[in-house]
Amino acid sequence: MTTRRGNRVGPGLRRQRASRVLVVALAHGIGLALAGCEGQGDDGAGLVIRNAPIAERCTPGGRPFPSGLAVLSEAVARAALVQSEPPGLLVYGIEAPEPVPFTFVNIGTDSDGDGRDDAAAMAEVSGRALRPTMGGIRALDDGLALVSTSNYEQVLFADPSTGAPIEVAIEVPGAIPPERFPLLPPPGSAASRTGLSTLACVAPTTDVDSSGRPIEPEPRCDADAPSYRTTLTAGASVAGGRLFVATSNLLRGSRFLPGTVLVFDWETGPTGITVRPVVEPAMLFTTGFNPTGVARVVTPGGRELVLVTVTGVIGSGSGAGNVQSDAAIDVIDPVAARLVATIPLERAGPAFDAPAVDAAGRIAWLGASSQRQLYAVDLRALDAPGLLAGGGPPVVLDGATTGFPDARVFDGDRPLVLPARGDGRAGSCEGFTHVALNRAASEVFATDFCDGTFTRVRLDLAGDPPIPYPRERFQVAGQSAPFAPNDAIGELRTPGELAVRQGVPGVDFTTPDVLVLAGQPDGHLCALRVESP
Amino acid sequence: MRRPAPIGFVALVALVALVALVALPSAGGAARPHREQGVWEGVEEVEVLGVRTGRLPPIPGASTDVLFADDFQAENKSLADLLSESAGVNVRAFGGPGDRSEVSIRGSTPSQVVVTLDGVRANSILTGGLDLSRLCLPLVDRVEITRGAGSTREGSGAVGGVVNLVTRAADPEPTTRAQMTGGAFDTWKGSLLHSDVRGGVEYSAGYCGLKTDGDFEFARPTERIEGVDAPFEPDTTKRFNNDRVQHGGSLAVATPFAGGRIRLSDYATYTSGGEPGIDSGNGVSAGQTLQARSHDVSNLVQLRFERAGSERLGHAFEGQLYHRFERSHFRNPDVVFRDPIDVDVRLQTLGLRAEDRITHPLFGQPQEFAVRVDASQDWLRSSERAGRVRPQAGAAIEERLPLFARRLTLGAGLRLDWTDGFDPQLLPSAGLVIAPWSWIRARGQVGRAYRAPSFDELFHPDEGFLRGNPDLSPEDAWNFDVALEFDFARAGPFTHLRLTGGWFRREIDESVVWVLINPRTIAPINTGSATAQGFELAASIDWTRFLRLAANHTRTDSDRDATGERLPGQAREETFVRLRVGPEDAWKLVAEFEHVGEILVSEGGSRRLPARSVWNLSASIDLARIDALPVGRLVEELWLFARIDNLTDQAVRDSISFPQPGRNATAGVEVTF
Repeated sequence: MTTRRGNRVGPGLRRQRASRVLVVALAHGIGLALAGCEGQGDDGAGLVIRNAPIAERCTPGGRPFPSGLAVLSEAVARAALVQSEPPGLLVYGIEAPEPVPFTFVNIGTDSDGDGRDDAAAMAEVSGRALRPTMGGIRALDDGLALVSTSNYEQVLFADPSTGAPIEVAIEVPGAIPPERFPLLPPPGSAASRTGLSTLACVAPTTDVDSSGRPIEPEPRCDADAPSYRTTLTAGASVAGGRLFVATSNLLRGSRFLPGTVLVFDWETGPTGITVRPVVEPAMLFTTGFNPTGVARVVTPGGRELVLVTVTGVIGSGSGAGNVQSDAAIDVIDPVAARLVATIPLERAGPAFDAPAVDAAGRIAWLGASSQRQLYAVDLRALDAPGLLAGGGPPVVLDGATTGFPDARVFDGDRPLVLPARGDGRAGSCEGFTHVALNRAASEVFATDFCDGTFTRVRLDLAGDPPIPYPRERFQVAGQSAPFAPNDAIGELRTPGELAVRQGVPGVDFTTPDVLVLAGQPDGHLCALRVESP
Repeated sequence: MRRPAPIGFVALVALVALVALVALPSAGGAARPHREQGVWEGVEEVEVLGVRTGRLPPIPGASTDVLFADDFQAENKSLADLLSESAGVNVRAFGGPGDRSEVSIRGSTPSQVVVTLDGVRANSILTGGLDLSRLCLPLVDRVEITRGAGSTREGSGAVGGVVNLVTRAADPEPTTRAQMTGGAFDTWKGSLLHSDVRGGVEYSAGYCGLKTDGDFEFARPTERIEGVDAPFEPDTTKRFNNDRVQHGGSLAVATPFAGGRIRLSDYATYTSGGEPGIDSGNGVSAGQTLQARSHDVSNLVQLRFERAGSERLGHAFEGQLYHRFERSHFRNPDVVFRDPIDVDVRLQTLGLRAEDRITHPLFGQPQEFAVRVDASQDWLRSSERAGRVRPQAGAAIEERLPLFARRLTLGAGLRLDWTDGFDPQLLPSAGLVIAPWSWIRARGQVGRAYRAPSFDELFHPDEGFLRGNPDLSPEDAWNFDVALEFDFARAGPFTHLRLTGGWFRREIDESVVWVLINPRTIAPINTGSATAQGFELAASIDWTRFLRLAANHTRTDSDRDATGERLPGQAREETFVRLRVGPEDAWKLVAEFEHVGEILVSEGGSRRLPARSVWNLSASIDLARIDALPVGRLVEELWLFARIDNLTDQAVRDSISFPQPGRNATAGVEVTF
């Protein structure tokens, strides 16, 4: 081995020049170091993450698990996907064999348009600099969608065909206590906003949470009584001139505070939309924990109602044991802003979506959060005389309440169990299903997060059979496996929310008619050609 | 962005000058020979391509590099920098100075590389990996890299290979080395190492420290989806809560004992700082955790006895007794929908290993036969989970047979390895080296490796969304590689030309990967079989002593056998070029170029970090070599240096959510006396 050190460089002109050059270079280098010489790493092409499809019928949707999907009418033929990172709306054209990205609009740092940075505003009222975490989307029409966000609790207003934010007028009546909505304009004032804060003080009607532990007072609401602030803004919908927003009110882990549905007046005028918190009741309490999805329905009898998915307490695992309390679909009379009925689903642990309702308002379907099964309720039961009468507790539509039918077709005790994937692969994941009805309400489609299947269930809603619909009228018609099972690492898998195009396949359009969000390994929007009527 | 000149730099230079003056009486101007430790004694020396002289570990046919820290003197390099310059070795950095970095070899995971400190495993028994930023290069003499081999010696974990860090031993003459640097992000580093031999007792003591604000600005990623860009707002921001203070120290005493030599050494580290977490979401804070802090302490003490063999029997014995302690405290009070995090973990390992090497003639050639035994026990105590104890043990034999005047060397090894909770594993290996002439060498090796899952993989407490999996099986792998090496002492205009080309393949079964096992839970699972294969090319050209060009290129193709999908986390193509101009013992200008191809972000690869090309420049001069200055009479070496990393200010990330700094400069001084 040789020694590195040793021979000294002899004196000479070349060496002196070299030394001089070195010293000059060093002087510059040291100068740069002293000056900090800190770049931003933003020269060149920047840090562009290239997204490429990994399945033929699919288009990338950014990071894993996009949180929402809305498909618009055939007039615009677009779909809006809610992306969590970066937070915003990604709009696709759907007049092609696979979705074509059209534009992306970031919700920005002042998403509700109140002139303040979201995190700064939240820090001011809660001590924590929280930013919006994207949630679901509900398109009211082709030009207006409600997008839920949590942490920075709110409902954003956006044009789902362009992703652009929409301003609405928010008026806060003077009778609203100032602490109730800390991020809304002060009581007695109005402001134009692109988001409606759903951070609200809640005075619960019970004093324990889902774990049985006492609810502590929240000093910023009521220092002397059990109280808390809303968390996890979930579904939203407009019915009967009112906006209903469910807040799950997760405390931590699997501990839930009583679930609430906030009530706002919703007026559409020539100058735009005006939203106003209702003074009384400001909110409704759901019959169980964790209200999530909200859907408007007009029953066959013409009643306009609001359905709220109440999942009950769901653990962090999978399977029947993951469901820790009873579920229900709560029914709200929007005009009276009152909970009028509840349809118990027992230990169903439904998916967090809004119930999928057929256009005629006859039936509503829900997927399951922890098992490979579906649930359905007969909405004709909501036309029962006397349902809206009185001001008492909600009618329980389980067949045990005199004068009211049992609305349950498939519930936690009697679910519609989907067949297992043909090759039986799903690992330790026991099911997480989402549903959508086709336009003709002749089929319900279900995806399973765990095994990657797409199942078609045939519906027979013809005639006027007794309530509830006989279960024999609903049969699994077929199953395919367009996605890989959850344990197939590296393949496109974990299908979630799905939506059906509103036109008639082959008549209104010739491209695929069902759109599905796939969550892993990265988000994709996939187009399936089912061509059901 | 420019910032005012740090006033502390002047103080820094003054401090170094003070250290130099204090130590002047013992300064010696004579050059010191480079001292070798006894780890590879008795093993042939070979030239290692792309770097300077090294020694081949006793694994015939294995692909090895030996990187001497002195070859990168006065360049302000970290251990991660050094490793990433070697073919087949990839360092995944999670930030800037003081931030976590991990090593992988030939597409392995960090936990599939055994990192040893003076032969004792330093990998965390909690996670299986090792944060390279916790180890301090100025206290290291050399880094020995073994690719795709080493399981016969190290047992569980050496799936990708082995990296051994050899700390500096005492020089025959009293020697003191000091280094101070300062620069971007208010980062200050310093080290001091002194060694001497008195009365037959060798001792060395070293310290190194780092302090950084770590508040670098960075460009944020833009997702490009079929031509539509999805950017964050704002598109640039700053790393917050990224300050860090780090101290490391080494102490070693060695003395003749019982016909051999006994050495007691200790290496301790302390680090404390912010944990900013990932870059996500809108806003200036970019989703970073502003209150999370960590404090880690680790200590590795070992007692080693070495005795050279008698001439008659040729026995050489080496025994080690070691204890490793690690304490990690992480706290984050600001979490959503869960209780504040406050976790204290204490890990300990007590182990011993012994090796007896017998050299005896066979067919007129010195055959080497080695027997090794080792045993250790790990302890885990934590505030968040039940305590765990895990013993492991192994026994190995190795045979090394040179034939035909060393033109052919055969090697074979077999290890029986046991880790509590798993079946014993047999780990065979075999190697072949053919060197018909001095300028050419062909080699190849095959070996089995495995990795027992770490404590975290098995027993991570059930946090709801995250938990361990006690049913995991060990990872199981076979490594193959062949290579051809050319080494010309003089070739045309070149004073030295070295070329290497090699192919490798790893077949691994039961890889452990953390995945979403159900809609709400992430846990590790065994993911079936996968293959990684590719080639490594390296070249080194010397043209007089004033110019050296070293380059290497690695291509790594990997896929899961079931799906054919590429494995994420590492680029397919990596190229590194280093040009040094100047006699490195007096002055040098060094330009480095690194090209890293696209990195798949996730399993399946629908998202890719862009390829990048980064330039680094450094200039160094040893003032003691300038005759016109009196410095050479006072100290042996006095280097002034300046370095600019990421000269063209590229956006650099190895992982999508962990930014690395843009252009940054440092300057410093290094003195030896």
